[in-house]
Amino acid sequence: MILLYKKRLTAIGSKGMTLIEVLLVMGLMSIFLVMLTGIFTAALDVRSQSQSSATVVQDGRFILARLAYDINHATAVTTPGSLGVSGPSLVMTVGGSTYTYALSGTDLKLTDATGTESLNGGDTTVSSLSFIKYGNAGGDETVKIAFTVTSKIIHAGAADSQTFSTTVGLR
Amino acid sequence: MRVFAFFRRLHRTQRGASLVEVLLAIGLASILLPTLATALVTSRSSRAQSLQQLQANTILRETNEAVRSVREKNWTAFAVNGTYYPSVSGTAWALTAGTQTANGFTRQVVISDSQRNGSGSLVDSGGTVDPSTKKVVTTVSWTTPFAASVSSTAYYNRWLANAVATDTTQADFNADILTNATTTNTAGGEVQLATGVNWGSTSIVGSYNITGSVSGLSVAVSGNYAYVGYSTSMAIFNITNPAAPTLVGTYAVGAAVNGITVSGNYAYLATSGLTNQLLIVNVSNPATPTLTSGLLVVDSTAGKSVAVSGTYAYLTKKTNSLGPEFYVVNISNPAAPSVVGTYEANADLNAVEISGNYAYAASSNTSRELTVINITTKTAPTLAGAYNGPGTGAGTDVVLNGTTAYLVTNNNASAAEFYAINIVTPATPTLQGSYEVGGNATGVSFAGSYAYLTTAVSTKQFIVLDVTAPATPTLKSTLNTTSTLNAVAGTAGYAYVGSADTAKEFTIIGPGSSGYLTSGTLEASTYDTGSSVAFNYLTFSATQPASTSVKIQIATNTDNATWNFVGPDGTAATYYTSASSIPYGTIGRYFRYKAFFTGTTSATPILQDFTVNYSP
Repeated sequence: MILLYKKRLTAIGSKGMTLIEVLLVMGLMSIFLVMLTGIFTAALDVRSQSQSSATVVQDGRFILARLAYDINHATAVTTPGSLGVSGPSLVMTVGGSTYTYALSGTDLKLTDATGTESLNGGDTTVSSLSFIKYGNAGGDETVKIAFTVTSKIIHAGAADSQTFSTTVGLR
Repeated sequence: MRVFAFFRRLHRTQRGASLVEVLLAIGLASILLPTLATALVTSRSSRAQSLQQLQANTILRETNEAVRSVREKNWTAFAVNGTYYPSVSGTAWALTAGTQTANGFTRQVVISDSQRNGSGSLVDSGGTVDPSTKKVVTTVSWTTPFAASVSSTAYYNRWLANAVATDTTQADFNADILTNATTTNTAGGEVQLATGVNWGSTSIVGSYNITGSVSGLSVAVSGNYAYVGYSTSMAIFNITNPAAPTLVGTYAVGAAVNGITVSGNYAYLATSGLTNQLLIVNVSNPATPTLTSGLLVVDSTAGKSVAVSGTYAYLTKKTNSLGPEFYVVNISNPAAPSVVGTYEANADLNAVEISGNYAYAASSNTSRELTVINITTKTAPTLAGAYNGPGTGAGTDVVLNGTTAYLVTNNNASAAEFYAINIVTPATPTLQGSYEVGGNATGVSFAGSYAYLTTAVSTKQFIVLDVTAPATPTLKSTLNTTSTLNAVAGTAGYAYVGSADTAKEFTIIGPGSSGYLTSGTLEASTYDTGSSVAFNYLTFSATQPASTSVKIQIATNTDNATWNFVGPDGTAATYYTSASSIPYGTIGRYFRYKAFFTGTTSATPILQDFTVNYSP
């Protein structure tokens, strides 16, 4: 039996191929492993990035929609006061009540008759909020809005951030 | 052994197959890995694309708001076809020609004509261009990660701050040109057909009792004012309402005012004042007539009459052995009148009128009742000719109508006192026709085709003659005012007379009515909208009794000069007969409307108001 084994061992070893095969397999394996790890890492990265980006886009879209709806329904914009003046907050009259959009810390807060609520989610911060009125004296004013939404989810050492800017007019 | 042989075979086979396996694995990997990689990349970039789309939509919204704002500011500036992008000019939005690329987004606003079909619906093609609607296509495009764009199409109208122009008060209508129509103020201001005048009968319409026991001696009418000279002063009356003339101002002369002429801002008075036979009074403010200057001519008899032509006043006087009776006075500076020439008539010159190079005076010289003086040379007036009436009554007043002079005289026992004299050749005035008044005629005036006479005849102090044919003056009517009338100034509708009646020194005599005129028009004064606008709709309120109607045509333009009145089909052949929309191509800055009134002698339509709606 030992003899047989030896013979076989000798038979294989005598060929000198098995080691190359092993090395080949190991080489291939390591290449595959590196690639798979890369893909896996990338997938994880994509996941976290899309999560972070999704919150930014989602909050940005919501804030834009909310502002557009309210400004469209507003009867007057009292702050910023004059045309061409830029300010960090927006005060307007909607349906008889006063709506105030302003930053509170890193949150965009809307204060109306029913209280104060945050318009961005817990995963994002809002910064660089500015409002500026353009329009024709005596006409329907337009409010140019700009703000930056930043995700709290850090990926690849950086937080996802988007600046949104649009203009909405009174109707 | 067989087993071993199998293994050996297998081993051999294995050695051969491992390379195939490797190739197979590589092949499989090369298929799967790109797919995986693509899925990964796609998932990343589609997220980026969706973010780009969100950003593009915010830019699209801003662009559309800017377009709205620019349209709101000025339609005319907005409605110019082309490609633009919005920009901020000062504190307002503006459209700048071209496209704009910023932060990877390209945006543009394309403004183009819109078309409407026959029923007014917007169509892509085959309709007529509506100048009040513009098609606006806004596009925001980007190239990374994938080329794509978002766009919106909108139609913009003129709409904001639609405005109206309205005529509704009597003052509004009075600013319009009325032909055979008149304004009233019984329900806030209306226009109706005027009543025709019929001088076949006359009556006292209104009068004014000047304080004191005085007598109206001379009358002149200018615009809304009548200037009445009486025994001591001159009074200025507002005659807008003939039924109730109101005293506006008085200038105290201290002597009788025998003649008045108003020219420009000045009233020229011929007075009995022994220090100033000619007074020049500034009446630019009728409430406060103020003396500009007075002129004493050499002798001390009363001034009788004054006429003004160009920069000269012509004063006539009662006769006086010491000096002439006809004076040419330079009034180029009303503050410093100076006599430049005189004519000695050796008789009272009771009245004077000027036509061209001749003065026509009514004279007490009974062989020259109408004295014609050549005034070509101001410094040396000379006798040109005269008309010698048949009797011995002095000429008392004269009025000119083209080539006919109407002269009245004091009583001629067996001859007429009213003469129509042909003055085509001033050197040889010839009689055309005459009328027997039956007593002293004191004044004459002319308007339309009628001569108004004032007399001292006890039963007919006022006489209206139809002088359509000067050869045969025919009596229209007489009026007994019980007191002598001294002077008259006439218009087509009224005669303004100075009376010896101390309770009616200023009397207004009007004709009877012939009923409403059967047609008339109102052409509105120009309404300037301030910029090129679209006229949308007109509406008017009118009372239209049976057999009467009010029809409207409108005209618009941009030059404020060409007025083509048209009806709803855009031609002069049709009329708006009720509130109606105006064809949508009606664009212009200046607007007028014209109302056509049709009625009967007993019924008139009444236009209460007119409004046109327009879009700036």
